[in-house]
Amino acid sequence: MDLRFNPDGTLTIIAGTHSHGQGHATVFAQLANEYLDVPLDSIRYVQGDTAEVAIGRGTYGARSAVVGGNALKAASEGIIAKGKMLAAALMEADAADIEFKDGHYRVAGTDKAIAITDVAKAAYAPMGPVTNKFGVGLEANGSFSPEPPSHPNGAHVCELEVDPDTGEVTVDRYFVVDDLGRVLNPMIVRGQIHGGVVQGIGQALMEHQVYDRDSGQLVSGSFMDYGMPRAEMLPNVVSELEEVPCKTNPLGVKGIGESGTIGAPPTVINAIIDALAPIGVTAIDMPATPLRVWETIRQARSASA
Amino acid sequence: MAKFGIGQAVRRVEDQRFLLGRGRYVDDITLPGMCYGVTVLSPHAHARIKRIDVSKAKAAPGVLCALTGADAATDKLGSFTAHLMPEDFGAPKGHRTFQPVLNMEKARFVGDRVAFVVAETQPQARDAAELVEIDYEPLPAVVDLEVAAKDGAPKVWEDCPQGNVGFRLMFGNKEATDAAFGHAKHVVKLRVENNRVSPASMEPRVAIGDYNAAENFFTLYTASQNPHGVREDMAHIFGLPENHIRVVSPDVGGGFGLKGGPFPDDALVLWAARRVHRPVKWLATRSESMLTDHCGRETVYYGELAVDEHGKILALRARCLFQLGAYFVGAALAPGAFAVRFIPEAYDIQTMHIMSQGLFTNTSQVGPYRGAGRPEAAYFTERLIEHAARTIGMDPAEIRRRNLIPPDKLPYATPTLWNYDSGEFQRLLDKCIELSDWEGYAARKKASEKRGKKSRKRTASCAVARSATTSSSAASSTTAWTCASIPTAR
Repeated sequence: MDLRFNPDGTLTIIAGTHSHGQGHATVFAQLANEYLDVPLDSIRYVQGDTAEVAIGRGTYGARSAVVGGNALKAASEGIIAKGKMLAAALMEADAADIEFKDGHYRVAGTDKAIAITDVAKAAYAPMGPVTNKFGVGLEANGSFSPEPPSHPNGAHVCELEVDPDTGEVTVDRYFVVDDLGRVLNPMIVRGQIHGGVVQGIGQALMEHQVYDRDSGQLVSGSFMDYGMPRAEMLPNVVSELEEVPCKTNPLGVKGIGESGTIGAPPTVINAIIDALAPIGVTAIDMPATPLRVWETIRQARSASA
Repeated sequence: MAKFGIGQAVRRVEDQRFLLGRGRYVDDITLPGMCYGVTVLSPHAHARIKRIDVSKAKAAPGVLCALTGADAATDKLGSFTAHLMPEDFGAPKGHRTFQPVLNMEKARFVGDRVAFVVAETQPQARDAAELVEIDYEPLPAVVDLEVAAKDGAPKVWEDCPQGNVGFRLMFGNKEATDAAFGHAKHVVKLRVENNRVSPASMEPRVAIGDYNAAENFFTLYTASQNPHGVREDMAHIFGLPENHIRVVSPDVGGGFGLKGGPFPDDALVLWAARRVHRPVKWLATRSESMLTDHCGRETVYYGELAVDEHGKILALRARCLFQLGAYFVGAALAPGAFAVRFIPEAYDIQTMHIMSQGLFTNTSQVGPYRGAGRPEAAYFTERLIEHAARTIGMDPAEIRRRNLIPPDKLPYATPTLWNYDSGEFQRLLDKCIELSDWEGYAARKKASEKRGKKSRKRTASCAVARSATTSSSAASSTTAWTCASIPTAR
């Protein structure tokens, strides 16, 4: 993760993670705003081009808040430390007397202060007072190796109705309590949970990639044959966020991106088994399509008849 | 200055662009002189390729080139293989496979790539692809996981030393587990199947290859979650230093793990661009995605749980069959390993014996998909515990409460080599139960049944399940993509 001030005092975040729906341009800008106090709208976010990004391992495995977030924190600390030397030179003070707060370097015990954005401008000024001594530019990179990893966890509850005549399952109430450590942006996190739960319900109720056992042909080769969940089939997902700080990274965050797909399938299937238990059903496999549920009900009834 | 820092629900700065349809995806990019490539895919699940004749395709209107595996051999292209093998972690040696950009000897699944046709327009390339003549000798195929595990099943890889077994993993202690099962009050057994699913990203996989002959420099525009990982693999395929390849992954319409690594199609557009001296675009149709994307999840577990008279879990036994598909490539071992390593979830189970096999079949490859092994493991364990509760007549929430790791046992080391640093598992379970108005369930059920009498009969139900999961970053990212010296068959 690189943070680079530009000659006009704006900031560019150059990320080795890759957002493809996760909202990194927002969350990483929030972090930069938190640590450096530069205006949100002066931040540009760059990713996904090996010509611009020195190195990165992309985004997968719920890693970006943990790896990218902590790397950005480290880069912020690097940039603040470097900026402090420049600020000391600009204000003709000792670096040891300077503190960084609210986006400004201040000489302790005086009213002398300079904005980090102005320090950045000075760092690029041709023949300016600091470039000869400290080199051109104000930037820093940070990395983070998440070893040991974070362990997000949570609990799911769902209620559903089974129509015994058609085998149709309607999930009508769904609740999640997730521990994801420190929350960076609750709206984005809830979106991740919501999307993941939907994906998990999709697997539990309809999605199935089927090969014909004899011919080896793919039977589910299009969306005519491969069922995907749709908004009309789904309940509102109520989620509560519990912040039990992670102890293995400085930000205290836990990766949340995959939690919904982990919790939802067993929650839904166990609920279906619960609904059908009175007629003697003890197991059903995913996906619990109407056909499979209907057949399971029929088998259970004929077994008990 | 107003802060928009940590913890605030800042609205997404991306959304203006996305919601107005102003995102820039690979398919939105058109380069000057760009032409279009289409892959010819095997219609057989398993077949020997006896002859490929591209002459008619080459003569078709607009066609610029028609490439086969023989051409790839002539141009000395490398092949794809696994980034992680079990032996890298001290587990028994797995069977490494190599996936060429195009197959010339054998097709191993319906959708295996056999030829690549490039034409002025995409319809021309599609028409010409149908003119590629291929003589196949069909071979016995296996697609079912449990069949593939049996002796005498058709072999996907003739040189695989142990049937179709691509890898084996084992955790826990067999003797201690057997002993615990021996004196348990209750033993429950369950076979659990996890269905094979397609990542089905909204944007199909897509790539544009561009080649600058003057500098021997490739530019690949591809929908990727990990552009540097793609560059590393392309450097291996083409035998080029990484500073001769630029990978651009602009806006990407969903990944879910599918786009975590490259596919042969990424190499095909670069290679074809070098051959025809023009940029080449390839875009999967939805059906091509279904055929050639990696799939997720497919596993079969055979589980046993030993439980005492109070519902305390004494030991767990599991055997897991993990679907690899036709090739062991990319990060396939990540879900394979996590599907067993996460079996303990947040439960205090120290005595367990888990064995796992990754199996080759004549189906498309399997890879990481949102959760990558964690959902498979959680599904297995939650089903097994729920089954145990029903069998011994205990409330499903209560059996969980009694077995979740209590706060005073943290940090907690699992027999599958995780170390949980923090978590308040029981409190979260209780909070979720409260949030759901657990007490009101009986009334809702009654109302549901009453409604059912008027229109149709319904039953309502509730279930609890929980998941303890980890950010895989440590487990996979630091090692998965840094193996610069992967041997590739050239």
